[in-house]
Amino acid sequence: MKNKQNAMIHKVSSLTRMLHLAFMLAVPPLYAQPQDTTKTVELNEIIISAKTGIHRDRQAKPNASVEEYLQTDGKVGMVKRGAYAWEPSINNMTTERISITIDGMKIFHACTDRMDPVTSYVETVNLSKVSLGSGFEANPNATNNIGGSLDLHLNRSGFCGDGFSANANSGYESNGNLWIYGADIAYANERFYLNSGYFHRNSGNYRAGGGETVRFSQFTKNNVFTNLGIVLKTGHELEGSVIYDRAADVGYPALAMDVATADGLITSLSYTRLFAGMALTKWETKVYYNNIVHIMDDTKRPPEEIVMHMDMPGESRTAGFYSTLSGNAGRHRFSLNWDGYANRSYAEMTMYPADPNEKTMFMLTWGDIRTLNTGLFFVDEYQFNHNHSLRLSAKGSFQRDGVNDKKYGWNTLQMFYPEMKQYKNRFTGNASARYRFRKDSWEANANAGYGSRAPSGSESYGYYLYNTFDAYYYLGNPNLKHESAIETGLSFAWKPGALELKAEASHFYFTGYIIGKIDPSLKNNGLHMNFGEEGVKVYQNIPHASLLNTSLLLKYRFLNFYTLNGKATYARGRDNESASLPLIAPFGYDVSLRFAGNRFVAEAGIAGAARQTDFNPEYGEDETKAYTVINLSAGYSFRVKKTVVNLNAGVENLFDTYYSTYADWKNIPRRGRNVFVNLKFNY
Amino acid sequence: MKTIQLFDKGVYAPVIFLLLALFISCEKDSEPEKQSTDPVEGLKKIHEFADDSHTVAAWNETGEFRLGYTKVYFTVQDKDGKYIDSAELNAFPEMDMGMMKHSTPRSEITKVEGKPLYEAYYNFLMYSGQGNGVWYYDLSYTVGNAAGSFDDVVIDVKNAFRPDGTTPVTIIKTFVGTDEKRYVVTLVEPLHPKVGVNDITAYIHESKSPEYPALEGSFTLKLDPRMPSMENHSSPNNVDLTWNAAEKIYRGKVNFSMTGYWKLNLILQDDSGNIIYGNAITDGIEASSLFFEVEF
Ligand SMILES: [Cu+2]
Ligand SMILES: [Cu+2]
Repeated sequence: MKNKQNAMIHKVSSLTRMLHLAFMLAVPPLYAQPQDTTKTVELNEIIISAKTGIHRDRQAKPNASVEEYLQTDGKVGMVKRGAYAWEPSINNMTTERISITIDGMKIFHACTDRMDPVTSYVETVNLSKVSLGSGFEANPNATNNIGGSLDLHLNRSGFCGDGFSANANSGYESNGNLWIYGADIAYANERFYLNSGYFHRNSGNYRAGGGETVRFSQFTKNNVFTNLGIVLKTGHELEGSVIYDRAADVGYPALAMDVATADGLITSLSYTRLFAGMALTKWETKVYYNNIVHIMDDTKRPPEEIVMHMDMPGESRTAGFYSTLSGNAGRHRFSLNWDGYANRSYAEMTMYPADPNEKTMFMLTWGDIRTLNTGLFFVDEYQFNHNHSLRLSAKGSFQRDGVNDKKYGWNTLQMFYPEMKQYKNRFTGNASARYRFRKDSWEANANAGYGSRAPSGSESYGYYLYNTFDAYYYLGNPNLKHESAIETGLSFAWKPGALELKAEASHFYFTGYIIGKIDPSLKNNGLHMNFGEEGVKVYQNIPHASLLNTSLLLKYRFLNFYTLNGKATYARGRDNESASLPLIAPFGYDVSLRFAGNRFVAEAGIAGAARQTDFNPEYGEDETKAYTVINLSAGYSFRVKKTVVNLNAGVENLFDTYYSTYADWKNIPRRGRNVFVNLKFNY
Repeated sequence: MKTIQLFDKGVYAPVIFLLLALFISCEKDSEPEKQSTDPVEGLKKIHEFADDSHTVAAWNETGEFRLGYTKVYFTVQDKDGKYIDSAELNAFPEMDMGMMKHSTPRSEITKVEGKPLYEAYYNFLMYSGQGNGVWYYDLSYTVGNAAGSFDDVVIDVKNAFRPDGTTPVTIIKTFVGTDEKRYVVTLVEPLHPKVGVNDITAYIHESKSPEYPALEGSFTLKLDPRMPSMENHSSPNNVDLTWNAAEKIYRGKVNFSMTGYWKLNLILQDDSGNIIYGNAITDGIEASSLFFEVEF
């Protein structure tokens, strides 16, 4: 009896889970959400894995990659360098300005050329959902974020009485000959759970619209995971997880090199204390460790396209912890979080001269960069009454970072910065407030925040980082100051019955915006490699910059089974000279009509973008043409004895349009027409 | 009513351990150097000669004479093996090439302060066997009233190679300048080149065989290091070599942005900026006529 009560508390009142109660863009909820005013919509949620069983909410393409799911959200964009490992952006800000965590764990990419955003080290099957925080209103464990945060929630069975279950799925996509296989099993009761699975993706080169093969766009990926949970005694839970992910032979058509292997080992152990009948509801403490090894490879390229053979391995290791205390007191809902992590990022570059008798040329592009960071986060949501609520959050962090390798790290940077100290201490932080008004079918939000971020390892200490986008070498700058921003946002929603309309705008005003600027002295003076590249850029704080993100969302349910979804986004980024910031999305839209019956779902969508007029050649950008693509999909579920079978099929880019977007590195074209089929068995 | 136990779980111990383990290596202190009483610690013996009263030995880091700059240390011991720190030493190397003889730029042998050790450098213009030449020197010493000499001692000057062990390396250069004088420029440092900032030092001698007077001051060696294998790229913030009166050597800074084969292109200028020898690197001209090679 007591056991059950605790399970209930666990399910209903744990703050973190409530925080993610959601507005779902990808999947319209079938039943109206309970209008419990004590629940607040904190962070957006993107549902990653399709629900099992026969359910109207399941997605038309359940085997989509993590990136494909993420980009269904209007705030998330994807920078693409090939078919694999897209780099997420939130509010048009990428890696340095956003925080990506996996179940609250920090994890950092190991590639100096951004080939491996951390989202590439997990698979759909590992995840249940993603919490998207916008701006400073981020996940508790987010650090150095301005644009927002993503927390990828692992797909744990949880302590429930489901017993044994199994899934098997496979998929095929015609374009690129992509094969997907996966299987996972789970056993769960109220005191124990174990789930484990394997996932495999394998693709050849894809074809652009019109039929042209995009060379070096192949990839292979394998992923295994295990999650384990034990209730030690009532209210004391111990949970552990291990993910091992290995991508091999990954082509990057937009870059000069490919990847031989990218390995990620992600482990964690957490202890959760649940309290009954008190202001404190939950106290979770986790320790974790992850290790990423990324090996680049240019040996698959035709010799005549290789200027010089190079080995470029990179490694990123992170160990950390966090401890989160959550609770409710009166009209307050609060959470306190202490987190800490230590990261080491190491990357080598070895160049092989044409004369084999000559010594190889060696350098560290990340000279064993060490980052130690610890922060305190507090959030409180106060519900004045039915109509008004206020959310306040703040985080303060201490960071010590530097270059640990003296011989190849510190020494080389001292050529440029003779006064450079080996380590630096920094304090960063942010504070934000959101006021929400709700009445009848109206909802309004106003938010404001201020915060700063420390420069990233590459920005501070990167050495000879070649950017194929603008063809410049980038040099880190240990003298960089923090980048800070003021965020303001407004949103209005109107939900009269079956119709939902939402308009949202957020604005960021940066001071000390960090971006690479040309340093002509270095071109003459020689960091320059003279391989046809343009020269050298050094990361600098420009006085100010601004970024505006706007979106319009529409949802209309009609005739019981139909939903019309519409989304339009527009963003504008400017630097201190009113020139465009790089990688800012032009006007884009996405409209879909969905039919969801009991067993049958179908969707037709049209997505596109206007011509990109605000681009900046200084950062290697050129004008991107407007495009429109049409996608169709359908799914059917049926039961064979105890097994539920889901069959999905669809066509993406129906008219085989040749296009590339503002975020396609060096304008590599997107996939042309693609027919996919997914088959999934749930037992 | 339960009490909340905040710190009874010991969860933090492994965390702190992990964080410490990751960071501990950053904080390593370099160990203080031990003071040694052995004057030749770390040196290898090149050769040794003894007479009735004393033993004289030559030493250096590699244990051999080599083309270009060779630093040599000498010790003088009495019959009891005691190191003498009041000796005077002289050595004059000569190469016998059959038709002619020549010496080489060198220093006097001077006392190393604080140690019973004597030092000199020889900038060997040629290696033993080059042009069928043979190097030898007369090595003489004086200790109080005692004196001795070891004459016509053959010294084996090895050729200098790049790391592949077979390709000769350019580390000393003889040329006739625009002022019609003959010069010898010898690269000394970097002896142990590394990525990053390196000291670079060089000697400039005038060649007035048999004498090679050191040219102390009034010249500049303009420096432009390049990597021919990488489209002749350079490195930033190098410092030209100028006379350092205290150390009696031309000194500058050379920066290597990576390991590998570097060509240190030089231009020898006089005080008024007139080019004595060497040329700037421009389109189509990949190297100076005066250069040294460093590969590591
Ligand atoms: Cu890479
Ligand atoms: Cu090089």
